[in-house]
Amino acid sequence: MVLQLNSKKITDMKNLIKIFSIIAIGVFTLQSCIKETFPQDDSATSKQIGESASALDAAMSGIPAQLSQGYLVYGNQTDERDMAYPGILLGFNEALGDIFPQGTNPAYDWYRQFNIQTGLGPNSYPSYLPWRTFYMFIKSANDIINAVKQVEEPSDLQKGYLGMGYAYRAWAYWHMWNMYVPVENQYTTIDAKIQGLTVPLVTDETAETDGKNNPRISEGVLYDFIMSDLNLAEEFLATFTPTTNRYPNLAVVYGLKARAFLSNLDYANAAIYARKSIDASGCSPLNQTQWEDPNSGFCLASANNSWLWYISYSAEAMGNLCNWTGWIAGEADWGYNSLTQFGVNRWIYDRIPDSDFRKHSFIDPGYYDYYDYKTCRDQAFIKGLKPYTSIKFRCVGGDWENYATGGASDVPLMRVEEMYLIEAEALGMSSSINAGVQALTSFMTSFRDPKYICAITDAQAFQEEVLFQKRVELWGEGLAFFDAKRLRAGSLQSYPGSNAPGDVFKINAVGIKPGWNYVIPNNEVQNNVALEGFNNPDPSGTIQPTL
Amino acid sequence: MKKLLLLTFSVMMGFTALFAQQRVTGTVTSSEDGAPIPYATVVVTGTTLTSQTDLDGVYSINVPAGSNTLRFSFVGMQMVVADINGRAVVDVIMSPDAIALEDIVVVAFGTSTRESFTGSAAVVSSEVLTKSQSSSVINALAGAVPGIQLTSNNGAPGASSTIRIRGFSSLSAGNDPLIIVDGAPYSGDISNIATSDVENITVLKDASSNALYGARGANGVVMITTKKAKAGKALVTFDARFGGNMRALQNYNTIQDPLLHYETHYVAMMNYFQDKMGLSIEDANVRANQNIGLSSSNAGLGYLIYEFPQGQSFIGTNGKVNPNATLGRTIGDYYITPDNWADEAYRTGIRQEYIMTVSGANDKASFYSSVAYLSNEGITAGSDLKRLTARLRASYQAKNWLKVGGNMSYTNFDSNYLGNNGSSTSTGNVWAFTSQMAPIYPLWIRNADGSRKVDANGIEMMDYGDGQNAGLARPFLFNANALQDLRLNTRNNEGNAATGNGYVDINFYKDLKLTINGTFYLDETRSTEVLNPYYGQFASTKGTVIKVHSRRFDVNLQQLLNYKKTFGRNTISVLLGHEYYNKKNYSLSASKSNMFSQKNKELGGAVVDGQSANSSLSEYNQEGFFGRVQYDFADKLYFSGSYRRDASSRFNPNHRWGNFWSVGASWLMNKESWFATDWINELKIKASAGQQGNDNIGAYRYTDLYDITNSSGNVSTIFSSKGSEAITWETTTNINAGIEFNMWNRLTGVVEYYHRITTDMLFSFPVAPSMGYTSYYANVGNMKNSGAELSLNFNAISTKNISWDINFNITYLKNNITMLDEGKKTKIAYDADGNEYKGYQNGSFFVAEGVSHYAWYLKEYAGVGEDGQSLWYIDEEDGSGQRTGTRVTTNQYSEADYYINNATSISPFYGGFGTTLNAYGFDFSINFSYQIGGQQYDSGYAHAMGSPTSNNSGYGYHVDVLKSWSKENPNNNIPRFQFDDTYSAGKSTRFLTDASYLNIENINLGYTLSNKVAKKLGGTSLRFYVSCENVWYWSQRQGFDPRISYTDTGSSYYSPMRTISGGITVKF
Repeated sequence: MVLQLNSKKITDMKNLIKIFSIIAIGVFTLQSCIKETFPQDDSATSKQIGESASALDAAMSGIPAQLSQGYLVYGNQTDERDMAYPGILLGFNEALGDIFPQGTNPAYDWYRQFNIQTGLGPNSYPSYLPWRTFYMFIKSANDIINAVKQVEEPSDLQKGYLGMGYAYRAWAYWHMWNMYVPVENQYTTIDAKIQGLTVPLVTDETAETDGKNNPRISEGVLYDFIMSDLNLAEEFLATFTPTTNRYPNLAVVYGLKARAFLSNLDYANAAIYARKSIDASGCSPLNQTQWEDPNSGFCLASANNSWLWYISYSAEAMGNLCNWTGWIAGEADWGYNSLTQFGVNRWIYDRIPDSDFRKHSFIDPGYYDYYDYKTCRDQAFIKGLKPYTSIKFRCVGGDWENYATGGASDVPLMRVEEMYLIEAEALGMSSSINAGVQALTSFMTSFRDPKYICAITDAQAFQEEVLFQKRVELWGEGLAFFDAKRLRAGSLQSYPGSNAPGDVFKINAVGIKPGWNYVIPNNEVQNNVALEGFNNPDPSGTIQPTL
Repeated sequence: MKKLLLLTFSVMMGFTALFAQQRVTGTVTSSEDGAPIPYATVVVTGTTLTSQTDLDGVYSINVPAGSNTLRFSFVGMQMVVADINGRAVVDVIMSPDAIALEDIVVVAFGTSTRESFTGSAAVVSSEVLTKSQSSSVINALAGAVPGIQLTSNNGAPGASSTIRIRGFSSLSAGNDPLIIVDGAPYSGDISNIATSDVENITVLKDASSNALYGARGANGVVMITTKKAKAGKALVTFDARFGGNMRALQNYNTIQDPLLHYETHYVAMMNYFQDKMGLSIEDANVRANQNIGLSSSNAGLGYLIYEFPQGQSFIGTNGKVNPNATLGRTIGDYYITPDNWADEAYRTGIRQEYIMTVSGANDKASFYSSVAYLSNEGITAGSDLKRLTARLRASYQAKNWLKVGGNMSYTNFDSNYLGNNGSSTSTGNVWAFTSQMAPIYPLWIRNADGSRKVDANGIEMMDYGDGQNAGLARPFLFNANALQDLRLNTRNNEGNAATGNGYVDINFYKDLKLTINGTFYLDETRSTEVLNPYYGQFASTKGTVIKVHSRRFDVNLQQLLNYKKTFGRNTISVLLGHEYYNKKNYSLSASKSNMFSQKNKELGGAVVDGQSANSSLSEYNQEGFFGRVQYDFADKLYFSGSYRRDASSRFNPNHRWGNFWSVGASWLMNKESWFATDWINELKIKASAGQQGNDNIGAYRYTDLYDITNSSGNVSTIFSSKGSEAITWETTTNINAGIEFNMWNRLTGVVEYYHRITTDMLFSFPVAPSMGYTSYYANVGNMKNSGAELSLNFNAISTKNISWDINFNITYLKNNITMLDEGKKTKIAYDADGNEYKGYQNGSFFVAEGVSHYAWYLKEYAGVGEDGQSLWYIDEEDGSGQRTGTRVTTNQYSEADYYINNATSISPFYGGFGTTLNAYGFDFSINFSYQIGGQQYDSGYAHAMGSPTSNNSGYGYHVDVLKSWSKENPNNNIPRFQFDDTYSAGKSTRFLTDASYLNIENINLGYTLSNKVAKKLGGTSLRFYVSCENVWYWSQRQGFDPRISYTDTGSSYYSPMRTISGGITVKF
C-alpha cells in the first residue's frame, strides 16, 4: 500500500475529510494482500504434490526409500534403532538369539532387549518401533493403491504401481501377522480372548474414524487378505516388470506367496511358489567369491545375481549411527559396530562344517590361521577381533572409515537361496521327507558345501535341519525368525562354553521365546479402544537366566 | 536644589533599590543521575522575574528585596521551591516527576496515560532491569510483576527463559507471548538486545491492551522499549562491571564415598543373587565379588577401583568392604582412581560488561547512542557469549508538521554452546555426566604412577569407558565422555544482527497525525560444529566439520492514522491502522570430513564430502487492519474499543482471516466531587473484555506434508505428517477487572481479577499409529485460566536522606479444560476416588473436561509390599472384566492402572517481593520470587533412587537408597534395592514433589558519592556497586528445581548461573 501525501500543510477541513476517507477505505479493502507461502525445503504439501505430473512416480519411489530411511518414525534423531526395516531385521536376529555382541560392553547393543527379554513392554521403544514402522509402510502402500484406483483408465505403468502397492502391503502384513499372533508358551499366559488374533487391518478404504475402534483380526482373515493382495499383485505385475530389483516384480510376488503358504502350513503350494519364484527370477545363489568379497559382500546388489529384492541406503537419508552397515558390518569403524561387534551364537558356529564357506563369515576362536579372512582392513585388525565376530556384511567399496560412502549399502529383502530352502522344506513336508532331503542336499552341495550329507528321515528333524541352514544362510538377515516361531524352535543361549556376553544373555527358551509374541505399543491401545485389554502379554523379565 | 535633592533622593533610592536587590546563582541538577539540568526555569516567587539555567545547569537571577523563595521547574521534574535565606548560592536538586513518568503506559501502536488506560499492564523499569545481570533482558521479569511465570531449562549465557502470562492459553500451539520491540514484532534472539539499552518492559495482560495485536496477542504481549534521550544537556554515562558466574543449581544428595557406593551396589547384587537366582548367602557373596567389577550384564559396575590382599574378598558377607582395601588400583600400565566429574567440569566463568551511552535532547531533536560489550563465560568450558552492541536513536522535528526518527541497533555475537541440554541419557550432554555419574569412575586415564596419560597427539586422555582404560568398560554413558568432547569439539555461533526502524509523523491538521513506521530485523548467523578425529563416534571420519549459515529477515510495515479532538470536557481519539509482517528464515548447510587440521574449521580444509549439503527457506506472512476509539469524559471516565481483522499464512487460504476486538472502561472515582476521603489519593475501577487469536502452531499444519527424499537418484516423496484443512484461529476471550489505588501517598497497589477462555483450542490430537501417523492438529475444546493478582508498593520511609520501599506481588492461577469435542474423548480414565473422565492421554497428563491442562496421569504408588517390591494400584475387576470400584495393589508395573491425579504441575500461587533502601548515598535492594503449591515430577531423584539393571547401571545413588526396605528394615516406604528390579522406581506418583520454591533473584548494594566529591573527581556522578543474581533457592528437596519446566525436572540441564559482580557507574 502506497500513500501519496501532499506535503503542503492542509488546512482545509474538506481535504482532511477526503484524505481521511481515502485512507480508511484503502485500509479496509486491502484484504487480498497476504501472500500464500509454500515450503521451500525438503518437504512438499499435498497441494504441491497434486499439481505435480510425476507425483505418483515420486510416491512410488518413496516406498523403497522409506524402507531404509533413518529416523523414519520420530522424524529426527531420537533413537538409533529407528532405522526402518533393517532395524526390525536386527530385532529378529536378537530375538532368535543367533547374534551376541562380542565387544567390551554388551550394553552397546541397543537391540539386546529383544534378545534378553527385558524392556519389551507396551511403553518401550522395542514395542513402538516395529508397529509404527510397518504401519507407515502400509499407509504408503495404501496411498499408492488409492491413487491408482482414482485413475479411470490406468496405464500399464500405473497398473504396475498398483501391483507393487499390493505386494508391499501384503509383505508388511505377512510380517505383522507372524510377529503379533500370540503363540502359547511356558513363560506368559495367553488369554483365550486374544488367541489367534493378529493386528488391526488398515486398508486404502479405512477411514480415520474406523481407526479409533479397529480390532485385531484373526489369522484366517488376515491370511485371506494377504493372499487377495498377492493375487492382485500377481495379476498386475504379470504385464509390468520394474526396472530394478529395488521394487517387487512377479518373482518376488511368487516368493511372498511361498512365504505366506509356508506360514499357513500349506506346504504343497509353498513348494510350487518357491520354485516359480526361482524360475521367474532367473537368479542364482551367491558363490564363495561373491559371499566373501570384502568390498561388495552383502552390501551391493549389483555384485551378485542372488537378490530378488532389496533396498538401498542413500547418504543423505541416514545418520552416522543410524544405518544398517554401522550396526552389523564387522569391519566398519563408525556407528555401534565397532563397539558391539556382533558375532554368531557359538553353537551355530560349531555346527557349521569347515567345508562350508559360510563359516568364513565368523572369526574362528581357536586358530586364526584356519583361514585367510578376506578384509578391507588388515590381518592385524582381523586378529584383534573377538572370536565368533561376524564379517559377513561388508562396507561398500571397502570404505570402513566413512559412513556416508561405506554405509550407503544395499540390504537384501529376498534372496533366491531362501526360496531353495523353502522349496526343500515344503517338498519334504508335502511330498516325502526324501524329496525334501534331496532338494536340500542338492542346494547345499551345489552352492554351499560340496561335502554336505543329510541322512535325516524324521520330519521334525528335517524341518530343524532346514531351519538350521536358514539360520546360517540368513544369519543377520533375520528371516529365520518366522520359521523358528512357526516350528516353536526355542533359543539356546546358555550352555557350557556359551559366548553369551554376560549373565542376562544366558537364557534358554523352550518352544516359543515369550518376546516372539510382539507387544502392541501403548499409544495404539490408548487411541484404538478395540485393543484395550487385547494386547499380548509383556514378556519382559519372564525368563530367568540359567547359570 | 529641589531637583538636586530629587536627583539625590532618586539616586539614593536607586542605590537602596540596588542594594536591596540580591543576585543569586546556583546549579540545578537531577537527583536521578546528578547531571545538570539545562533550560530549567527559575522564577522568583510572587514576581514575574524569571531566568533559565544554561547548558551547565547554572543560573543567576536578581532577587528583589522582600522575596525569599525561588521556584524551579522543568518538564518531567517535580517543581522545587527553595528558600534563599540570604544565601548567594542556591543549588537545587530536582527529582523526576514520578507520577508524570509513570503516567505514560506503552500500549499497542502508541502510548497512553496511566489514568486513561483501561487495561492491565505491568511495567518493569530500567532501574529494576539494571539490577539483573542476565544476558537476556526477559529474565529480569522473574518475580518482578504479577501474572508472569518464568521457567528455564537452560542457564547458559544468552539463553532466555520461557514466559507464561496468566497461565496457558493452549495445549498444542505455542504459549509464548508476542515480543514487541519499539512497536514492531521481534522474532530474533532476545539476548541480542543489550539490557542497558532498555528503558522499560511493559507486559500487556488483558484484552484491551492486546486486542490490537489480534492474531498473536492471545498469550499476552511483552513490549520492550529502548531508551531515548531525555531533554537536557548531553549526558555521558560509563558503566563497567566485573564478576564471576557459578553454578546455582543444587546437587542431589547422592552417595559421594566410593566405598559406600560399592557397598550399596553390593546390596543390590546380593538381593538379586539370593532372590532371583536362589543362591545361598555365601554363594551369592562369592558371585557378587566375582561380578562386581564385570559388566552390567553380570550385575556388576564394570570397574573395581580398590586394591586388597590376594586371596581375600573385596566385600565380606557382612556387606562391608574389606578393611584392608585401599582406594586406587594398578592394572598393568594403568592406575585407576575415581575423579569428581563435576569439579573437573565446572569453572567460575568471568563476566565483564562495559557500557557507554551518550545522549542529549532539545525541543527539536533528540539523540541517544550506546556501545556495550559483554563477555560472559558459562560455568563449563565451551560455553560463553561475547557480544558487542551498539545503538543509535534519533528524532528530529523537521517542520512543525513533520517529525522523523530512526532507531538502529547492531549486535555482533560470538558464542560457544553445549550440546544435548537436558537429555539425561545423551552421551553428548556434559550435565548428564556431572549430575549422574557414580563416584567410582575415573575421568582421566592415568599411568601406573598416577600421572595422566597423554596420547600421541598431546591430548590428556580421558576415560570414555570403552575399554581404553585398562580394558574396563563403564556401564553408564559408555563410549562417551562429554567433558573431553567439550575440549576437543567446537560448537560455535557467530554473526551479526541488526535492527532498523524509521518513522515519519505527519500532522495534517492540528488533530490528525499520520505515522508511517518501517522496521526490519536481520540476523546472519554462521554456525560451526567441529567433531574431533581423536575420540568419540566421529573419530573414524578423521574430523568432521559442519557449517550452517542461517539468515533471518523480518519486515514490519505500519501505517497509523491518529485523530484526537477535545470538545469541552469530552476528548475523543481515533486510531486507524494497517500492519504487514513478513518473516523469512534461510538456511544453508554442508559438512565435510577428513580435516587437514583441527584449527582450520572451514569446509575448504576438509576433503571428503559428507553428502549432506542442504538449504531451505521458510516464510511467514501476517497482515492486519485495525482501529481503536478512545473517549474520556472530564479526565475521570474513560472508554476504549478496538477491532482488528487479521490474516496469517499458517492457515489454509479459506480459513485465514479472523476478527478480534476489545472494549474497556475505567472510572477515577477520586476525581468525583463527592469523593472527599483525603487519605485515598487515587481510586480507579476498570474493566475490559475482548478476544485475541493464536496462530503459533508452525507452518503448513493445514495440509498433509511429504518428505522429499533421494531414492537411488530418483526424486521420491514419503508421507511425513497429517494435516487438517479446517484448522483455524485459536481464540482467547479475555475478561479483566480491577482496582488501582493510592493511599496516604505511600501505599499504591493494584488488585485484578482475570478470566481467560480459549476456544477452538488447537490440539495435536493423537491417533492410533496404525493409521500411519500419530497425530494431527485440530481445533477442539476450550480451556479456562482464571485467577487474581495483587501487587503492592509501600513507601515506608521517605525523608531527605532515607527512602525505603517494599514491594510485593502475588498471583493466583487456576487452569481447567472446560470443553472437549466428543470425537476427542477416546479414552476413559479415573481418579483415585473412582470418578470418571473422558478424554485422551497426553504424555504423563490427561486431557479431559474439568481437569487442569497439567493434571498428572500416572500410575499410583501404593508403598512397599511384603517382599519389599514397589506396589501400585490397580482397579479390581470382576469375572466379566467390569470394574468393581475397589482398588487393589500389584507389584507388576505394567499391570498397574493410571489414575488422574488431583495435583497439577501448575502452582496456584506465585509472585515476588523485594525491598529497596536508600540512605545517605547507600542503596540496597533484594528481590525474591516464589511459588506455592503444585506438584512436579522429580525425575532426577527418581533416577537416583532406581535399582540398577543390566540396561542402566553405574549412576550415583541417592542417600535415601540406604533406607530401602530390607528384612531387617521392613517398615518404610522405599522399596527394596535389588538388581534388575527394572520398575522399582518406575514413573509414578511416588516422585511427585511439592513444587513450592523461594528464590533470591538478586541482591544489589551500591554507594553513590556526593556530587561535590564526584565533581572533584571530574564527573557529575559516581556510583560503586556490587550485585549478586540467582543467589539461592529453597525447594522441597536438595537438587530439585521446580523452575525448570512444567513437565519434567531432571538434573541434566544447564544449571542457572549465580553471578556476582562489582561495578562502577560514572556520569559526565
